[in-house]
Amino acid sequence: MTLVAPGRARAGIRVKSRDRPPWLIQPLYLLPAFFLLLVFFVVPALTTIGISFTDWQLGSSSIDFIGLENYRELFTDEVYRKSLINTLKLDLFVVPVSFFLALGLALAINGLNRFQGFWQTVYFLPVTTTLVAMAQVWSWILHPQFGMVAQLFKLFGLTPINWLNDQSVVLYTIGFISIWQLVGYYTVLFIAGLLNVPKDLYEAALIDGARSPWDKFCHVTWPMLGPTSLFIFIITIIKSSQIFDTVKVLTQGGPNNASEILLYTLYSEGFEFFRTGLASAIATLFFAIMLLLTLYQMRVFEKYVHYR
Amino acid sequence: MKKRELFLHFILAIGGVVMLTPFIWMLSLSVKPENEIYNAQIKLFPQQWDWANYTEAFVDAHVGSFIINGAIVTLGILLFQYLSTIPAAYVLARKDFRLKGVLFSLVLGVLLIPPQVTAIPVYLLMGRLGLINTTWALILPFTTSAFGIFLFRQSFKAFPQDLIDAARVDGANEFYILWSLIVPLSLPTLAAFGIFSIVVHWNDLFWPLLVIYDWEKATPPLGITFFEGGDSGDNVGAMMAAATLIVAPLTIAFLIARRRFIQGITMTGIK
Amino acid sequence: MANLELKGISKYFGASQALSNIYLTVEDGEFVSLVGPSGCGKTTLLRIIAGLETASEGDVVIAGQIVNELDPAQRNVAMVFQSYALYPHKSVFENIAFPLRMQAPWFTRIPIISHLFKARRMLEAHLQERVPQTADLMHLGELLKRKPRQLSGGQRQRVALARAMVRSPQLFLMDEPLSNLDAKLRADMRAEIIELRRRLGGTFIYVTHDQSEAMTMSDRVVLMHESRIQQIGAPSELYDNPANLFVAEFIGNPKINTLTVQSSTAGELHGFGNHLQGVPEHIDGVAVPVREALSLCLRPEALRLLPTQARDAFTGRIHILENLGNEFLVIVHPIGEVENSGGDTTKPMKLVARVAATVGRLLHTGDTVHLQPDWSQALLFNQDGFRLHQATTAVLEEVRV
Repeated sequence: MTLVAPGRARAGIRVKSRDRPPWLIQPLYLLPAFFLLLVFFVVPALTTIGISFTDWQLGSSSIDFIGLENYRELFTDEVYRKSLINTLKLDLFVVPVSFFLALGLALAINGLNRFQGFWQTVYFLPVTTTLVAMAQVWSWILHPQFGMVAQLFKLFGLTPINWLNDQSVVLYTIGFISIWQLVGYYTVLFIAGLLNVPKDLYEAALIDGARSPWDKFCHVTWPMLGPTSLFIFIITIIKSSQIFDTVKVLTQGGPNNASEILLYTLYSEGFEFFRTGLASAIATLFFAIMLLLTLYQMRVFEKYVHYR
Repeated sequence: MKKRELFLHFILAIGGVVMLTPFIWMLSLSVKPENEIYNAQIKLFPQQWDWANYTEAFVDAHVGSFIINGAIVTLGILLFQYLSTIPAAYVLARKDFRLKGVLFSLVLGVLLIPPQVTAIPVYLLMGRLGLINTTWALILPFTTSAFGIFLFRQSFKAFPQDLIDAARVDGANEFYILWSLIVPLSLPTLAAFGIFSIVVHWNDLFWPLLVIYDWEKATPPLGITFFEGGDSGDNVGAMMAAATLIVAPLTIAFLIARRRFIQGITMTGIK
Repeated sequence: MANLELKGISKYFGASQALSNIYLTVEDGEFVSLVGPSGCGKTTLLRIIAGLETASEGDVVIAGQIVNELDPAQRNVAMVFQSYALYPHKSVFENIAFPLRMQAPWFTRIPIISHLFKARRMLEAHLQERVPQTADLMHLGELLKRKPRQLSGGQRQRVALARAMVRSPQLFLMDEPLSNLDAKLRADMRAEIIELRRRLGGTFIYVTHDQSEAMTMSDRVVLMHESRIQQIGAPSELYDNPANLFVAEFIGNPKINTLTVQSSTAGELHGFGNHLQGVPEHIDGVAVPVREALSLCLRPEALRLLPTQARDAFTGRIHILENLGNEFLVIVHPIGEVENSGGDTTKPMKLVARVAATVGRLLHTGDTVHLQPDWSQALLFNQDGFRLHQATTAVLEEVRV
């Protein structure tokens, strides 16, 4: 490549900058989106992290840097610890149940010759609903006196359980409602994954002697579902950690913080008690966990993508 | 094979009952008068059909307003999303420039940010702009979508270069190529995203909860929480009617365009 | 005893018929190809033999046993797929070992615990011996630990073959195994399969759409078209003695020259002016029928280049000259003639002739040449495509229509 004085084109000599693409093209097309991304996503996210290191309260004029004090409080204060532990307990309940239930349903629906669409619709129906509204319906179904479940219990001579007011059960009730709403979503994702398994792999296995459904699942279905399974697994964790609506509407964290979970704590600390600094710390913590999970999944996914 | 299929149907039916029970019950309660609701018996059909619950939901609980607000907000959001993401996705997909990598990484980065992380500062911003308790507060923060940019970029990238070249030769300019050529031929992807966006924002409780106080501006999820402590007190029947009315639009839309819906909402699966 | 017998196999997919009344007998150790254009039913037939589809009518008999009701694994057949269908998550070793693992009792597959069973340990020992042995036969010895995605197309093909071989099956079924390979690789793999067959001595049923592949590899060729068998026979039989027009035109590269002619009341052929005056009254031992539309076919090697015009030689201009190295293909448009088969009167008729290199080198496109047909090599077909031939009955016996 010949050296050329930058900027000026001399007669007969090509200017170097024509070989390389420009820095930016059509800024008008890009500006709106990126301006909005910065204003409503990037800057706020950074701001939240920033505020988490302060003791700021909404409306207060003073703001002091307090380092990791908020975080320490999160892990040491009883109520906040309970919130973290509850979230963990909730995840440990919702994630495996959702995952395996969805897998089972997907296998069942996929194994049908007809009416696949019908069942997909039935299970997907809750996904489109407004959770808040359906949560109200559930609270009535689970009503300890007049609810349908209570009636069934009495029919069998059992004492009805107070699903939303019993400390030992309430968290799992919230979890159940979440499973009810989202299992259809995960099922459809699994079905998509199942449909992507090459058909001739099943045929080769059949010829090789893998006749039983278990053999087929072990040697073809499950291995080929690998990346999909991982993806769904991560999504279930993320979504179950984001449970908020049902708690806000049905239990408000009670009774006695038995259903206090991370996002509800964020809401109440930030917008009911206006402890903005602390709420930001919760948000940042949440962000960090979600980030790690997603990055982990993307890394593993990279390996699998070069499969075939 | 027949026996096996019947078995599968049976299993699916058991789960199906659990899935559908809330809907059935919601409908059932919404047409029952109060005395029958508090009756300790399981009866699907009321002895006395009471449609008053629905009028109550509309009049006292203003469910109609909620639905209209919901429509305004979700469609408003979608419109701005289309306007901002489509051009950006186009440039990222088909143009070459040095900052492209950086900008796209930015988009990917934003995808990793959960919505609750940005809530507090955006709330403060809305406050600063004096937009708290207005419809704009519900729309503005969502006027662009990193997910939309990502999705459309992928779709536009796959668009056949030949068509674009032919159009260029015929004298088309950038604007025409994007809006009159690429967009119309990318309708399925645009529609799928549209459904995704509408469902997510229609059902969002968290954000409206933060920025809206008056029922007049409330979207459906927020509206129904007002219902609880509101004028109707503990009127279960009316609440069920309200729930039915709120859930109906999306559910009916889903039943009509089933495939599109599923495609749209599970789009997050495609990486 | 015949290894495979197909008796009256028919297959319907809804209203459309994929296979009509197929009869076929394959002896032990034979290499039989199922050839035909897309949609003729050859893959469907193979899958029915394998047990991946069930026939709507008819019986499949393997080694004297009716296997209609049996699973693929129970039929002791092995199949090589067009896409190879290797298990992507298993190593080459495990891919080859898989059929043997499936043959072992079910409890050997319980993870971890099964190692306590003697049967499991014996299985592992057997695999350690058998799998590398089979892999070596296919020159895969070094690659046992690799995964399929790390292998080339040809290597994957060989793993697929090894997996098929390892169980010593009664029948090897191959569904267009070479279609995904490039030309050079295809030739190499073809040779390997032939070599393999010689060494193993098994019975092979090979599906392909490439007629030259079928011709070079098979003991017998089964040509199929539109769900029926057109002809079964040794490759030379199909080439020299096609049973109908379809066979004549499908087999042989370049395609046979077909002249559509009309016979007069006196049994003379018309259609090309004077050119057909030299056609004898008897072709193939059969008298030319009167007042019929017929197809008269000549292989490219049955046309000889003459230096000067002759009574029944076709005169024409060279349209295309193809130099194949050892010979030339000369494509000629006879002057004043028009393609009149299929009703397309706008396409000029063409004749393809094979010409020695020494002669071909002297030719140029546009030259006027004279082609003399060797009528003793002519093949005659009636208007339904059936061959008019002294031995017609003998040929058609194998194909029950």
